Amino acid sequence: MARAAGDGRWALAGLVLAAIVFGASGQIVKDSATVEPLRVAVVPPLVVAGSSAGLRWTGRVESTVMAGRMTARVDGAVVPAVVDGDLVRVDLAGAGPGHHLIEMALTQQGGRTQVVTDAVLVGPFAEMWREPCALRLTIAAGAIERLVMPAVRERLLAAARATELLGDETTLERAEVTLQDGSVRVRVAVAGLNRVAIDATFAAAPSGRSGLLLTLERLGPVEFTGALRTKVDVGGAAIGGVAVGAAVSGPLAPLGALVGYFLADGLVDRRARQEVEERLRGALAVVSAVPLLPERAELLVGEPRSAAVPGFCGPLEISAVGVSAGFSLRPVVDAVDAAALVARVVTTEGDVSEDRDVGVGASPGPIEQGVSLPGSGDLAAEVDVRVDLSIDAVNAVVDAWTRSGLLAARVRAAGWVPRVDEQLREWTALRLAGVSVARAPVVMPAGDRWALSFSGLRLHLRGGGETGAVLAAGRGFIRPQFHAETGVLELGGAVDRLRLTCVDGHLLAPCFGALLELGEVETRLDEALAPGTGRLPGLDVRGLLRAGTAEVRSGGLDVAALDVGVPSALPGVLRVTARLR
Amino acid sequence: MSERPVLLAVRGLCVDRPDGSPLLVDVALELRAREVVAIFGASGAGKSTLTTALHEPDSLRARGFAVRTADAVQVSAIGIVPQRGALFDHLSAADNVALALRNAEPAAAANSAAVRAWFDRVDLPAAWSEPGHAVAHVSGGEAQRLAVARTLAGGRRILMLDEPSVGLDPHRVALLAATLRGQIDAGEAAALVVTHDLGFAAAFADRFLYMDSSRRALVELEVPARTDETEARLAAVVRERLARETGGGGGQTRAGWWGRIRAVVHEWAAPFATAARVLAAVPAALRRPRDLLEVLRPTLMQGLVRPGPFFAVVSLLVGATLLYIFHRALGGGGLPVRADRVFSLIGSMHVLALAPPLSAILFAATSGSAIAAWLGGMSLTRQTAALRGLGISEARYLWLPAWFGLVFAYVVLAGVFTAGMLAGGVAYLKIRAPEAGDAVALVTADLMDPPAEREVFRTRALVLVLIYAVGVASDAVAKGGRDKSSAESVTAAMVGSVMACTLWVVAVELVSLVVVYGARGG
Repeated sequence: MARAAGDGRWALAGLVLAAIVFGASGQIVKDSATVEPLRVAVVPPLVVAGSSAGLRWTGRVESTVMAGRMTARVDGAVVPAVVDGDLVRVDLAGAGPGHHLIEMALTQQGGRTQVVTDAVLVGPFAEMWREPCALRLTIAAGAIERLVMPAVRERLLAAARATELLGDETTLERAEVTLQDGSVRVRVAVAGLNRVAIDATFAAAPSGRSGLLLTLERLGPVEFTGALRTKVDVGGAAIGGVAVGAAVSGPLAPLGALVGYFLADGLVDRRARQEVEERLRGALAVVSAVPLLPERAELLVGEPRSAAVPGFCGPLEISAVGVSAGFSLRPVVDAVDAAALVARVVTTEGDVSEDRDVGVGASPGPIEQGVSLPGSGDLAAEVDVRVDLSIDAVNAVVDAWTRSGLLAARVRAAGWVPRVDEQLREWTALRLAGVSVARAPVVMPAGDRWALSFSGLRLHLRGGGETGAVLAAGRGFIRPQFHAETGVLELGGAVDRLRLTCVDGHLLAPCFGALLELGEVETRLDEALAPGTGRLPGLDVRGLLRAGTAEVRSGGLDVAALDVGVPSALPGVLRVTARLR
Repeated sequence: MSERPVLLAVRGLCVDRPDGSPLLVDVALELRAREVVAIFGASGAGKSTLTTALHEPDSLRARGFAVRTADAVQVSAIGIVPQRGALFDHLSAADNVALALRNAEPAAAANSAAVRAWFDRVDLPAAWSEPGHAVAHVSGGEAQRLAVARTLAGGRRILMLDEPSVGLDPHRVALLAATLRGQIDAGEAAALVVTHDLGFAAAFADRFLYMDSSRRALVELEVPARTDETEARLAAVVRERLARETGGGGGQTRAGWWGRIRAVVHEWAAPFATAARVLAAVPAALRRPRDLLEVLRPTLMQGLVRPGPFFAVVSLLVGATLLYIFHRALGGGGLPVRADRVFSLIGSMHVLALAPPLSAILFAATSGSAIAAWLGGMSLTRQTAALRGLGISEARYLWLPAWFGLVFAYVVLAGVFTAGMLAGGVAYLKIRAPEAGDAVALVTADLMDPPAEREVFRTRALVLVLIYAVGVASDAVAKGGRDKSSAESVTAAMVGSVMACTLWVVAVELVSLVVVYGARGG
């Protein structure tokens, strides 16, 4: 029994040892399992900043060790970060207005990267009811001569021939329009039964919101010759000779006839000039009184919420280069919508409702880059028309559309939410119940192109096991492409960055990063949005131009070539140049 | 004879079988200095049980026997000389004696001169005292003499010899008897010899006892010792008694349910007891580093060196195969996932998840089995009995180095297995998926630079390796170190160890995962 008892004691001792070992091991594993994953707290919370002056983003990384390994990026570019213990600071003083994506990336062996992305919306912000100069249209002088004047000459000749004074055999000797500094010189000469030649200079300036004030700046000598004039002159000479002969003597009668002739001739000149001037001024008054722009225009045809009020903006420039006019667009936004920016949730079923639980910080107004549109400047020889579009106007319009719910409606109409949900269902356990659009996307200059950035887009994902709200932020580039054969300006997109971050208060945690990578979501979006796929709307420039210029000439004008770009010196301007035919 | 000092005296010795039936009843035995006592008896009468009850009653008790003694006097330590000597075959001839000398009471010098002196005493060649003379091929008589020398060198004055003349020709029997007699007389020792060899007994013994299975007691045979008629009279008396034996007393009956429960509990608790005994023996083992190294060396040879290449090859194939499966199933399958992202996502997770359990199960089947078989073989060949007969603790001499050797071997082999899986993965990526990028960085990602949420799996793997090392070593040593009575019991210990280890390894895997995800609230 002694040995059995001894074995029992050893077994007991062994069991106690084993219990200690298992207990300690379990605790070690538990401690290791409860290690907090990467999290970054933004201190102080930074969502919207009025300006970037002295702006700095600070994140507290949960692990000091991780803080030292962080790579900071702002809008995709690696920036130096100051690490102080578990604090990482990034200087945003140089950031311009717009959304800025601050990414804190922890790259680990094997190509694994965990990224938390915070988005800061930097102002200044414009007032919501402003009327920025949206675009400037410049028509080259050569284009007027080449494309407009032939039609004008045809109409002028037809009108002259219909005049009894000139007759059916009237010819157009001259019809020239010369653009000068600030004015237009018109020289017209028609010859029929009589010959009339006019040399007038007009000045033009915007008048009110939609009118154009045309004034006769100078009227040169009006030539008037022909049968009618001869008739008047002979009559004048006869009356002069009779008057002298009757009053003085017969020998002076020829002198009287000569004086009478010249008096009659001068009278004709004055009367003709007076007549022309009166008629011109009358016509200018009529033209100036006519509003040239509509009261409101729907930027998206058939969508009343896209309406904007157009107006002339800035001076009308007339020079040897051409004519250049600025136009403003004031988005028409319901005052109630504009006062409080309410996020809209677009559900998989296609409903749009208000979402008051997003809490990502509303912007006080549209971002303002402070762009001033350039004048006509120099136009390349092959350019007939140039349109300069202001980035501020685009942002104002997009902001207005977000406030009015139009953006959410467009997302719904495009069917993006159910489409993404369907793709997610194909190979993940995730479900996209809806998307909340809380902040307006912002267009920002990005070198020689424009980038479209967004943040505060809340994804209502189910089945991921992640905590907090899943917010999406990203940046992409707009890639319009003109097809000369079809005449369609097709919009395209390229995804630069797409980041999902789980946000709990101001605590950011990486989430779904592997999913985005594995699913090659960015690549898929790139492919989906690329020009030629038809996923984004196109603009039938040729058709619109033909319809819009039908008045100018029969069949309208056609676009032969079109180029879209951002001038390097004017990053806030999208320039469209076209060659017409 | 009466003036000679008593070395061993036992009275009232009773042994009951595991089923409770009596095997020995009120046995009395006395051994004096320079006295040799031979015990005869029918097979299964309890002769071996008697000797075991005298020198290691606890081993009987461990097997379920009940051993009681009314009175016992033991002046000197008992040394065992099992059948065929039970030489320690992991040692040379010289080391067998040296081991006994090192562990002798009182301690004796264990140099080559002392070893040679003992070889001289038992008439063994002096050349055997040189290092490196293996015991595997010595003859039966030489083995017996070497075993006697080993036992006496260990300071044992009470020898218990089990069939020492088995397999020897008459000349060698006579030679052995003379040698033993001389050593016993010279050393003031005594011997209790269990034998069926009447000639050997007649030439060697002073008294003759018969184990009467019907009376369950020892009977003194009135035969004069070492006369010309001794062998003949002895033969007559023994044959007469054997003829009277009914032979119905031997054999074990089935253990009852209580015995079976105890056996199961003992089986289950044995690894824990072994680990505790091993750890308790550490101080003693450190005092005899030579003993430690003697067993550590063959342990590492069997547990580490031999299976090492096997582990390397298997792990290489497993590592490559797993990535091949993942690659085909994910990257090349229905999921629209880039191959490099698949491997980046997998990282080293397959290694961290599978290397510990696979290597542990493989280790239990190879190294653990080898050590269990080795220890079992030592028991089966009575080497462990001889060891105990030399007063050397099995736990200290055998189990501890075997246990630590296995623990160390598993840690190394787990590393080999991990490295092999990694190498297999790297080879696969370089050959079949070069577009995945830096293969080494990908496959070692979770080992070298795991993300915070995956850190636990590296920790878990390390913890599991340590648990498996200790667990497999304890189980193999416990099952191997148990006394064996047949070759089948050796293989049963091996297989039992592999099955038990596999079961609890899988269970620990599951439990550890529950711990991990439980700690995360999932």
